[in-house]
Amino acid sequence: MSATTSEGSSGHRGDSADGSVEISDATLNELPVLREERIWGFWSYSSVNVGLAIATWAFLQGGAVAIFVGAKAAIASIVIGYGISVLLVALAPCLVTGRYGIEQFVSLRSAFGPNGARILMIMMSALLAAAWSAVLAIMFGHAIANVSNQLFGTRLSSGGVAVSFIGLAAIVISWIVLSKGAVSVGWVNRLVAPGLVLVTLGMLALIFTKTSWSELTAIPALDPYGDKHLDFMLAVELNIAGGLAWWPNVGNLSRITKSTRAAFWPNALGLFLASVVAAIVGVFAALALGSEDPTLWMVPLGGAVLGVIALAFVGLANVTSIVSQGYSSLVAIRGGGGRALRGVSWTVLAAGLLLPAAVLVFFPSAVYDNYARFVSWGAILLAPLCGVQLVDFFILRRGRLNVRHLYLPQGESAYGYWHGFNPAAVIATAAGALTYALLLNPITYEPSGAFEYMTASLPAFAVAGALHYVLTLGVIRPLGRGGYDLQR
Amino acid sequence: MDDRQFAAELERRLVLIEDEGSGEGPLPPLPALDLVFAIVGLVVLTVGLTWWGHFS
Repeated sequence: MSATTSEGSSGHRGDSADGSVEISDATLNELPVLREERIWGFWSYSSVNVGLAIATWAFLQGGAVAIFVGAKAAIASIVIGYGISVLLVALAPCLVTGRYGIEQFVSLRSAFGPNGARILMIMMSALLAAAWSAVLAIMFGHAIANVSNQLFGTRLSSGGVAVSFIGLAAIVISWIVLSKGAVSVGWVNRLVAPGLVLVTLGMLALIFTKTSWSELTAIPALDPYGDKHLDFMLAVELNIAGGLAWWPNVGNLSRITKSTRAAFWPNALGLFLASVVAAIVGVFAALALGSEDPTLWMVPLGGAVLGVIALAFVGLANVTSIVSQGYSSLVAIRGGGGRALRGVSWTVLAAGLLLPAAVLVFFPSAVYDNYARFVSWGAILLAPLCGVQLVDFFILRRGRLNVRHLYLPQGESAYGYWHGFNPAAVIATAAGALTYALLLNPITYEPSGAFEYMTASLPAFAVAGALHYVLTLGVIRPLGRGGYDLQR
Repeated sequence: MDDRQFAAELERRLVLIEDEGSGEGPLPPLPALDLVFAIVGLVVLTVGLTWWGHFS
């Protein structure tokens, strides 16, 4: 999901001829930040988090939840699911990066080794960002196609080639904005975030002018499995997975907070509360209008004029979300990529990041209509990752890292493990991912029998954390690897 | 980006971070009570909303 990091620095974040600007701005690279660079207190980090949460994917999330459950169960599942996952990402990576001021993939070197952390960085910053960008670009295509159909009487279908080319245009526009660096990213977000708050509140008001609470709660889910408990647990899982998707972005935001409390609690106010409100509005709209596609809500709710304006705005908001997310991913890739990527220009990196999304937009139905599966593909990695990171940092290392060893070459670092990989963390993460897949098939989205008692993300988290603990104490630490006896 | 510049800046920062008198060390950890409060709040919300939204 997206991140709005532009306020985290006063410096320009694009290319510089000699790199001097970027070196002085540690929020652009993997350098540990100093106290004077920590600029966010509780309220400023909260406002950034609110801007992150109030984005178009909150509507997608609400629409997806409405597939499985009605309004009351949806509210419960959203609060529970987001509550669990936001707590996990507030602990790891936010507290780790917040306490030490280190880039979040640098912090992972202690658990996974430098090469393990680098592979995770590529998987999350590149692959997940590409997939999210494609979803948002296709949503942009849907929105513009619907505006065209409404205004000009065209008959552009949601799975047609026109949507793909409009989505491609969104990717190209995003690349142009992204290439201009932080200034443009900050500008578009300052404009769009308040607008989306207005659209969200306006939608809520319009829903309740057309539908009463009792009518809303009586509307059945859009396409449930039919087992009430299983559908509720699927909704909870969907929201846990949706919240875990914040992991790749929030760590590098909390890195520049002024205290660990400021790194932790704004996640509850921003990511949790704002996401919950927006997703619940999405559920209500989906149930009231009988469609999980947010681009089909605006005109029936707001009428031809207001609806088209809102739809065009939501379409635009998708572009800004792609830009924000792309920006955050680029910072991570450039920082975590080390020497190899430090010299590559911002514009070229941005093109490389968005290229897979430009291909994916030509499969609009496969990408856009499988939101729940798509979110679970992220959770299959992120849930075990959180388990490993939390156990490694808070239990095995008792909340202490040696910052110098995070930056030493792998042959000299206590965190070098074997060839830059910690086999315990890799095996534990793989076991967690396997646990997830056995409980909820990420391809078919078919749950197994045990799923309805425990979800998939939580067992994946627990298995990975427990296995990492056992393997570390049983194998890694006795062999003198991992720096578990190092002090700060 | 110049690797030597980067390495020099990194070393400058690491020296500051390791110097206990510089005030650049890690921030104090999150108070345990904060974590307990967050977990208890989440458990209460989960139980209450499961009853309200799913079983009632």
